[in-house]
Amino acid sequence: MTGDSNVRMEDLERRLRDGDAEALAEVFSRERDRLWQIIHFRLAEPLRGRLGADDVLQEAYMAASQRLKHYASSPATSPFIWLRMIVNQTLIDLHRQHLGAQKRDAAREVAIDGLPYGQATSASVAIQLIGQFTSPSRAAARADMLGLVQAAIGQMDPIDREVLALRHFENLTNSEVAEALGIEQGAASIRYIRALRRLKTILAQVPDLAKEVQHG
Amino acid sequence: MADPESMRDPLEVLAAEYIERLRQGESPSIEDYAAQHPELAEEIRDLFPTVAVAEGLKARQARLSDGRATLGAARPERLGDFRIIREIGRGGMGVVFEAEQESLGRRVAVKVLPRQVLLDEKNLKRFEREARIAANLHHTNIVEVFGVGEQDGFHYYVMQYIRGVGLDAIIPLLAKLASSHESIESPPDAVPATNSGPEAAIAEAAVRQLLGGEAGLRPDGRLDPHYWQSVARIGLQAADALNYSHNQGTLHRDIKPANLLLDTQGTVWLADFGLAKAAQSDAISLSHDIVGTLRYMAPEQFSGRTDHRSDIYSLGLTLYELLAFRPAYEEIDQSRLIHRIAQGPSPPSPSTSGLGVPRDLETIILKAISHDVSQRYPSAEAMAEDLRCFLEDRPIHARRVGPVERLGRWCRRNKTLASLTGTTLFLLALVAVVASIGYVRTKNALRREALERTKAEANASLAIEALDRMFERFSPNRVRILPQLSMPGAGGETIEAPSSPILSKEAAALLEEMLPFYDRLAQQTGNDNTLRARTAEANCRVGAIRQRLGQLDEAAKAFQRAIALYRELSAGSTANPNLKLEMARIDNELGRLFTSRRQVAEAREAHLAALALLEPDAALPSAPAAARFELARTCYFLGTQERPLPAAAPRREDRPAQTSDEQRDRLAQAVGLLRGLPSAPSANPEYQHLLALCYLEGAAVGGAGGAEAKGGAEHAIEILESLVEAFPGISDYAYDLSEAYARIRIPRPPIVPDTENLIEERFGKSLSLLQRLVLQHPDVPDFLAAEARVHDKLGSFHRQMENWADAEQNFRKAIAIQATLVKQFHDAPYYGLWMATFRIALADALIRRNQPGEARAELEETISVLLRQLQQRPEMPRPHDLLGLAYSKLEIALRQAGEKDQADEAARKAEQERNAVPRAP
Repeated sequence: MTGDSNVRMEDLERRLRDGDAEALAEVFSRERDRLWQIIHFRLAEPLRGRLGADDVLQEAYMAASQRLKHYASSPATSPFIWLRMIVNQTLIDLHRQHLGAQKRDAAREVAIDGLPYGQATSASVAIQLIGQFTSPSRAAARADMLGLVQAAIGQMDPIDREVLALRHFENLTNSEVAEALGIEQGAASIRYIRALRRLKTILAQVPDLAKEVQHG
Repeated sequence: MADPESMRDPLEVLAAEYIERLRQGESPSIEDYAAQHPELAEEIRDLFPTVAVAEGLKARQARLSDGRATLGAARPERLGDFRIIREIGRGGMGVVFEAEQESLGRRVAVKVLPRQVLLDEKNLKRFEREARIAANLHHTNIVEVFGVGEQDGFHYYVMQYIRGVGLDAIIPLLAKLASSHESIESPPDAVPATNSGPEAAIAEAAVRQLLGGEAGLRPDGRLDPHYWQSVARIGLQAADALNYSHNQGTLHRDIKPANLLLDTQGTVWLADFGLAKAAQSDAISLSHDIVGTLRYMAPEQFSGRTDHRSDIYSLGLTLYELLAFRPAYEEIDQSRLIHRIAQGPSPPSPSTSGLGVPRDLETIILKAISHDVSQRYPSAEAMAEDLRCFLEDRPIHARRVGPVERLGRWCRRNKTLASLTGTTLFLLALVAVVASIGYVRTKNALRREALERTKAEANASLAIEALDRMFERFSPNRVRILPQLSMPGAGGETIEAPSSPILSKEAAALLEEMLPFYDRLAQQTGNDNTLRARTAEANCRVGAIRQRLGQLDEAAKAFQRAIALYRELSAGSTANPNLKLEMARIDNELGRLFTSRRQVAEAREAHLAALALLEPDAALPSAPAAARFELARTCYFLGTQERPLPAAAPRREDRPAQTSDEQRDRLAQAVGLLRGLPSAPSANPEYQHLLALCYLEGAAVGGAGGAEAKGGAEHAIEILESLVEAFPGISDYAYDLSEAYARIRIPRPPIVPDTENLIEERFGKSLSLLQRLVLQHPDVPDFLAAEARVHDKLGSFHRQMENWADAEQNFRKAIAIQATLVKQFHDAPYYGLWMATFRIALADALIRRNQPGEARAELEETISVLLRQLQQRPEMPRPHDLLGLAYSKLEIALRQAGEKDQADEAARKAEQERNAVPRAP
């Protein structure tokens, strides 16, 4: 990030705290790609048929403008992390709303480990990892692997897992990860490396995966 | 306070920079990083490839995970000459928009592919080539392709705009209508969300058109004949279009309901011609929605063979859905779906829906979806011709496949059965014919003369005999009780393993198919004693089949019905030894059934009932071999009851099993009886098998003279080895042999090299047998579980030998195998507990190898998994011993790593858990 854009961001943050709706629109459009990525990554399987990431993004924007006045009072949260929180809250609301009968599951999933997502992250990460294995002759193998990888990821330390997902699938920086999870930057950093090591072991169990990704 | 940035792991800082460069589209060299940071070089080389993989995954995601394409946050507003008006729908390949071609002022449909899809030059060329070929197709039932274009990285495909909807949107509406018994007057409200807007109205109009105006369901629940005619017309138009394109040398490759558009005039349009091939080397690789696309794939496509008959098949499956209102293959799980498509059983006949599907129309569609390519229509033209015949009420050419032929075909395509084809086919045909004729005759016979009755009996006997020969082939009546694995929890409760019959899928399916024949026979009633005996026999077989299929309640009922019938029969002639033997057999089966349901008292009672029936006559040397064998079986069951199989004991050390004197005596009696039975190769191998099992059990007893016990185990191995050699196809023998190998007693150290070699060799043999079994029967969890346990045992042996590297390796293998089971049976805590045991053992080996970091991670995860499991299942007893063990190993690992405070904490927790372990009274 250049110094210039840092200044711009600080300016935007100040205007946001003043409740400037135009600033919100600008921040939102700047971060649109990353927020879209988050939704794309987090949207639960059963909902994907009914909702597009764009729909969620729109909802989130509405929610953000309604809650803009509260931003001023939220302590030292950066605009992106604040928007990410709103996106996540929107996702949770939509999950509750749409999964009607399964409400309790959705709620439970959300509360696991005191993190915003628990098992849901394992499933999402596993899908990202294995999603590629899709030639018909290998589809069966893919289904098995998805399960294996999901199990392996499920066994990671929950915070490590979250760090990995935030870094790679939500495109957060180390300091943003620290802020989002409420941990020290140093801890976030160490956890990321530890999670990478685990991921490497998991990938080693799926021998062709790395090859596919690199050459596919 | 230090700058928070400075606390970052330097490796992570570098990784972040590396990620940033990857995201900018660069391909930074890992070696350069390593060279510039020599102090981190090793870790860079170790981890950066993983970073790249994780990023690579994201770069390639171009679709939602439900298979529908997504264009990302960006969305085009205009593509060249085309002004985008609105989104019409999404498919696996892309997003379809309605657009206006401004220069010509015409409406078109534009399918936009996700940006990442055609990055590759080769794919792009193929896309353009296929689009050109598709653009050459001009047919009244094919959506015309105008061309392709590219803008801002979006590749798109311009087509004729059809005011219509895919059949995939129409079928749910029809299904709802058919099930709700509503007329079309009340508009269905189950319009899919994607179809709000004009599509909903179009779909409704199309449904109305299909049903022939206001007519909906007739009062008798059947659909108006107009509907079936409409379906045939859809099929006819599609088959015509396919025939045209096939003659042009173009295959569609992705026929499915979503690609058949129906407009409000009742005209069908085939969409997305060749796109499957165009977009990628194989259609599926693009579409995340594997299941949605796989569902309509012909079985031969899985092995990469596709020809025009694959299209015919897919069209047949699409039409099937219009008849049955549900997919022919409803499996949601991919691997099951593939297995089902490839190996059957075939989908149920659509006419079973009770909607009045015309027989001829059904015949046409079933022919189109024949599993065997050569049984399908040779061309789309031939299919069109038959549909035309149907519409014009002329006789169709397709021939219905009778039950015999269907069974035969089913048999033919199951590889495992291939070797048996000759006899099996014959037997199957015999069963099908005899059972159906026999049934009719039997019914009539009951009302007619005694003469006829004899015939009926003969038929029933013949059918039973034929069935039995097959049954024996697939599921011989062995002595083996399904390994009932259990793992004592805290406080003596046992946690049950999910047990599954050792039965291949093919055999299970075959047995399922045999069941109705037996059932029919079993429901016969009559006063005739011989006929009643047959009925009892049939009930007995029904019980055995249900038992093998895991339907234990029904199995028990059938067995009990059989026993009741036999009792009635024996009331007249108590002296008949054959009857007694038969009843004893059933009692023993019932006992096994109870054992597998852990109803120990009932099981014992049943085996004692068998004993009472057999003794003392069967104990005499003059008694028939079958009776003596059954008595030996009874003794074996009584002698092994109430003891968990040693393989399932939670401790690795072989604990002396708690065997009563009575049980030892029973085993000895069994051995005595079996030794008296013929052991020639021509004799029933089950005699020898049971003898080996008795020796094996005797060996586990210990106590009764060490030397003799050891001899018993070796003897068991000898017998089982020759059985496996003579009958390589019988998995029970191989499984028991692997068990016998792995049960080798490991002496206290010091262990001489010779013994060590022998032990290694035995474990190796055990593992290679199990590996083969797992390969042959991937669905049988017991084989996998045994493989994991043997690795664990071997690891423990290596640990005892202080060979930590091999120990680690074996524990890791056990863990990897167990992971499959844990995943497959995530509802059952049992496999998870074993998993924890293996991981603690691994951690222990890691500590010994001075890798406290990894050991710690392993233990922390094990503990957190266990705790989570407890949280999720409050009814599960807390595994205090395992947790205690894990915490105390964690303490060691932490001390090794110099984390004193945390080690103290772990020690405290270990103590806590250990104190909570219930003590034996």
